[in-house]
Parts: sequence; structure tokens; C-alpha cells
Amino acid sequence: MKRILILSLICSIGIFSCQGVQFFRVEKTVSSTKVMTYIINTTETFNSYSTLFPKEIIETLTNEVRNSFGTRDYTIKSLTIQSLSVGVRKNSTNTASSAKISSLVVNAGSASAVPFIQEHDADIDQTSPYLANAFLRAGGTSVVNTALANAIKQTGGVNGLNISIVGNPIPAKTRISIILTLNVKFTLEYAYCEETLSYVINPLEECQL
Amino acid sequence: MRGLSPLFYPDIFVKNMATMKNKIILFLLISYSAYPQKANNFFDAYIGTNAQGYLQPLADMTISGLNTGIQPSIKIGDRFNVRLTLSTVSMFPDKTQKTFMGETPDSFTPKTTTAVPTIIGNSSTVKVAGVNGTSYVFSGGYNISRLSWATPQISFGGFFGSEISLRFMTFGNSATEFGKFSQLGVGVRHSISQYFLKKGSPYAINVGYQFNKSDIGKYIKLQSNYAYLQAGITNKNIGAFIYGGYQMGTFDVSYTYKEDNSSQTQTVNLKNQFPVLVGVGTHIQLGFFSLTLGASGMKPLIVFGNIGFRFQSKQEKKQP
Repeated sequence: MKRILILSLICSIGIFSCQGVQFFRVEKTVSSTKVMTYIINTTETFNSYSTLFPKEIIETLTNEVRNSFGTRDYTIKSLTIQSLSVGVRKNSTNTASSAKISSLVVNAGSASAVPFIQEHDADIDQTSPYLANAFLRAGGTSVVNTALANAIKQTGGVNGLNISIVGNPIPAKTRISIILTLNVKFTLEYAYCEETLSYVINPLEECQL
Repeated sequence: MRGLSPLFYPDIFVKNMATMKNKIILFLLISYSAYPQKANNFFDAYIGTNAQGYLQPLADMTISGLNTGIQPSIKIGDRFNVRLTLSTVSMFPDKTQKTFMGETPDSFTPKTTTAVPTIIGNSSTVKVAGVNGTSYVFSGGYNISRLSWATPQISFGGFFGSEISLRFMTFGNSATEFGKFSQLGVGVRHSISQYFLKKGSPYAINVGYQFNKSDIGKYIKLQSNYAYLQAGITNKNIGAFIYGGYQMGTFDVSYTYKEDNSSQTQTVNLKNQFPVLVGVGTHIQLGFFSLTLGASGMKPLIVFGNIGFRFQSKQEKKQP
């Protein structure tokens, strides 16, 4: 009986066998929306641009990460566009019923403009931004995502990306007086090692970044 | 942006070894609160429907864990006794608890539902491709293979074929960021076999009920009820038993979710998904020392071990 007792005791201790400090590998995401504002007030064709700085996007999103777990080190896996919405706020002087708009993106280090948003009619009587993922152009999205990736790798991204809004009022020659916003939502994917509470929570594998 | 984790620094490793002793003590006290500053990070991957799917296994594991190992023996006995027990449980999640069907937000096109990791699931993120070069990324889990804790329990038995068990712990400070940890458990068992089996029979059948209430800092509030039937065979020193019952519990998780440079408090109200809890156990009693080992489940699979000391009143001497 004593043997059984000792064996059982060893088994029960074995459940919580000794081990060193262990770390979880944690991969998480954080999102943030960059709002780019365009003030348009004309009766003619308009072309207005705003600059997107990849470093600024990274800084904004990593601030969220740093706030989450202090100064712990982490690795950025990716940073990409998640979605786009367009907001239009009409001024009192506006007489246009809608606007035909499109967008181009130009990397300041490059001469060529790439379509970012395809041409479509923007309703200017809206109360909330409309979803514009379907109007995005893959080539333009790729330019932005690549600039962000280069900024993460610190091989580029110092220059900003000029994103223009091009269009004209409908009906023609009427005054379009609006504040247009491109709300570009970015998702940052990052990984870090989190110390586990030994003996209470056991991760399956050792964490390495 | 890339660097080595503290694990790879030898001086920190030595420091970690020095803190080992403290961690063992904390473990004995159910030491969730050892990591107050990190507690929020543990839950904050999602809001809304996805948060429910992500956190659900934690609710199932915790509620089942609290209702496991509550019976220190099969025989309640007919002499008044007091039993001090350290009840330890280890929960091993089922494969199906590792993923849930995550949904992309309304702002993402096309709306997509896919299998993604729960809080105990794989640590790798899951990326979903959207239209025109967009993408959405689901957070990974913590790749947990086992969750364990220990709880002290005191039982008073041997009166009218009944036993009452109590679990109570509280520590921490509600004024701190983590808050206070408190746990209350009340259990009763009653022998129904005493009404139809002869006194001294090796067989025993009991009915029981367990109530648990716990606040894990400001983050988790749980409450559960478990009613069960226990049957087994025993002699003076050794016994074996099976049990099965129905459990209901609530598990409310509160945390701060950050997006677009703003924070919002999120509360996820969960209920246990697996109400049936069955188990087997074996019990050894040597003098005042007792040991119970067993397993319960099925989702998650739980193993438990109780080490206890029983003190009981003297047997009345029979008159010749």
C-alpha cells in the first residue's frame, strides 16, 4: 500500500513537473484608420492631393502596440490596407448634385501615377461614409502596401505617397463645394513573446521571434 | 523593429530562476494576478461576435475545472470528520476548442467566415484576401496545451450521511490595475445508498451539488452550478468512483479594446457550452493522509489530484 501511495504522490507531483520560464508566441493585429482630407470648391474639373507618409502610419499603429505591452520587443509581420470608405460633407454653397471622382497614387520617388480608386459617381448627399472597397484598383493598393513594406524593412518609405482626387461636378459647371475624406483602414500584424505563468498555463512550443 | 526576447539574455534567465520560488507559491494560490499588466492583452484580440468565439474555450475550461476534483473520496462516512485538501486540476483542451468560425468586419469586402484560432489555439494569424489587394488578418491564439491550478478545500462530513465542502480565497487589492482575486466554492454531498444498502457495504452512491463564484481581478467574473451523482466502491483504504452531472455557468470577461487611437471597454458574456461533466477517480486513505486521482471531461479532458488530511471523531466502543 505504501508503494502505491508513493507512486501516486509522484504522479500527482508530475502533473506539475518543474520547468523553466516559458514564453508564448503571440501574433496579433491592430487596426487604425488614416483620414485623408480634400477640400474641393470649384465649378471646373478638380485635382486635389493629400500625402500619406508610410512612417507615420507605422508610428501610429506601433504606438498602439507599445501601449499594449510596454517596451517589450516585437516583430512586424505585415502592414496592409484592410478597407476604404469615402466621406463627403457638403458645404452650403454647393449646387452640384453629385461628383464623378477617381484617384491616383504617386510614390514621390517615382514619376508614374497609378490608379488607386476607379472613377465612380460620389453621392454628395450622404450622412455617413460609403464603403469603397469595390472601387479600389489592385495596382494602387499594391503601390501603398509595397511602400509600407519597404518602410518596415527600412529600405524606403521616407518619401510620402501623393494620393490625388480627380473629378468634376455633375451637372457640369455647377459649383461643387465639399470636404471629401478618404478613410483608409490599415491592419498591422505583429508577433512577440509573452512570458507565461509557469505551472498554470503551458504553451505548446517555445517562442522565438 | 526586430529583437531578441528576454529569454535569450543569460542574466535575465538567472533572474527568472530566482523568481521561480515565488512563482511556485503563487501557483499554489491560483496566481492569475501575478501578471496584472498583461491580463488585458490576454483577452483583447477582438470585439463583438468574434470575441465570443475567441474566448469561449476559456469559459468551458474554467467552469469544468472548478467542478472537477470536488469529491475527495467516495465514502462520506458515519463519523464526523474534517478534511483539508489541496485540489489540483490540469485541463487539456480538445482539438475542436482550438478554432472558431471568425467573421470579417462589415467594412471588409467580401464578407468572409473562416476557421481561426481561439485564445487557446494556434499562435499564427490567419490572413484573408479581400477585393482589389485588400486583406484582413485574424489574431492568433496562445497555443495553450494545458491550464492548471490548485485550490485549498475544507470538508466537514459524517453527519446524517452528508458532507459540506468550502473553498474560499481572496487576495490582491481592488484599487490596483488588476483588482482583487476572490474565489468561493460551496459543495454538499449526501449519501443516498445509506437508505437502501446495508451499513458496511463497500458500495456507495451519493448525490452532490457544487456552487462556484469567482472574480479574477477586474477581468473575469464567473459563477457556476453543478449537480451530480457519484457511485463507487471502497474499503477502508482504497476506493474507486465514477460521477456524472449537469453544470451551468456564466463567464463574463471585461477588457479594453483599442482601435483608431481610442479605447472602448468590452464585456463578453459567455455560458459554458458543455453542460455534461463526467469523471472517474480513485481514492487512497492511509491514516489521516488521503490522495485522490482522477479524470473528467470530455471537453476539455481534465486530470485532477487531491492531497488531503482527514481528522475524524473516535469510533464509539460497542458495549459487550
